[in-house]
Amino acid sequence: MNYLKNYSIVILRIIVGSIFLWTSLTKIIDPSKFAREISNYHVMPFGLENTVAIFLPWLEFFIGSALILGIMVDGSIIICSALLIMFNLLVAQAMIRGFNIECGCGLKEGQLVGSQKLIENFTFLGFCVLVYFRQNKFLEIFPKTELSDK
Amino acid sequence: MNYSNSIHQVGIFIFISLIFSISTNFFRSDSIDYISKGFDKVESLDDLNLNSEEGIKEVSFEIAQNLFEKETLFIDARAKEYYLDGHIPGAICFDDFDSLSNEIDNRIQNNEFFVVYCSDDDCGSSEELSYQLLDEGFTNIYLFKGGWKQWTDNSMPIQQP
Repeated sequence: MNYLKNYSIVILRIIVGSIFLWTSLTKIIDPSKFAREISNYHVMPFGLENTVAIFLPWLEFFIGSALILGIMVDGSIIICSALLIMFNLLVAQAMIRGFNIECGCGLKEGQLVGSQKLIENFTFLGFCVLVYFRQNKFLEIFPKTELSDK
Repeated sequence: MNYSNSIHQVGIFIFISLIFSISTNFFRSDSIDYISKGFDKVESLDDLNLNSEEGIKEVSFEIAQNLFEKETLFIDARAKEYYLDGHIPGAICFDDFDSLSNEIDNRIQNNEFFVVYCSDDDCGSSEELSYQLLDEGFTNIYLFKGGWKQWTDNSMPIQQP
């Protein structure tokens, strides 16, 4: 049973990691498009959307890769959770303000902000919580702990 | 450095991402400025010059009104369903980008300018379409950010099916 649980956690970790890795790639390829998508949310002061568009995709790339490979899982899952909460706040404020804009999530071309996006993000956040509170550090390559050898 | 500490791990990820993002943005050919400058604005009718610097320029309602009176081509960047509910007279709208691009090509001559609009200042689709058209090779694009909302708020003529 424990074996099954361990593998389930690994699968959840890889799902979340793959999503972050995949979405980061389109943003890395075209940062100016991503900057415009951020700008559409009308929350970023002083033209800082460009700075975010340069930095954020790389952060997503590294945490996504780390989750898939099992490297510093705790740190990457904390960042994933924080990002998902932030994305949901952005989507929610856009919905409240009545913006009919593309979410800029990089997952599906042309996906608009809406409740579907919120549900998606909450689901992934749930996966993150399960991974963070895992009992065994199973199939994690760095840092090695006593638990990882069990 | 304690690699088992989650807060340290967060710091490591942020540090590595910073290094990579700054260096790739420095070396790539399509790098962007760290601070967005926004669009050049056309402040007066005198600035409406075909020979001015090419690119996307933002126009106010007054300028858009003047361009409308001069029978400039208007592009509606909203979804077709909104366009069919009502639009700026003479404006065109296509869900398919290639069809839109061909239609603009047929309607304008010698790098003539045209105006792109969407619902209002918050919609963003007019900016997105303007960039797509710029990539397609159209170089004189005016962006009317006030869009359909400002147009109707000022009781301007509209066209409905």
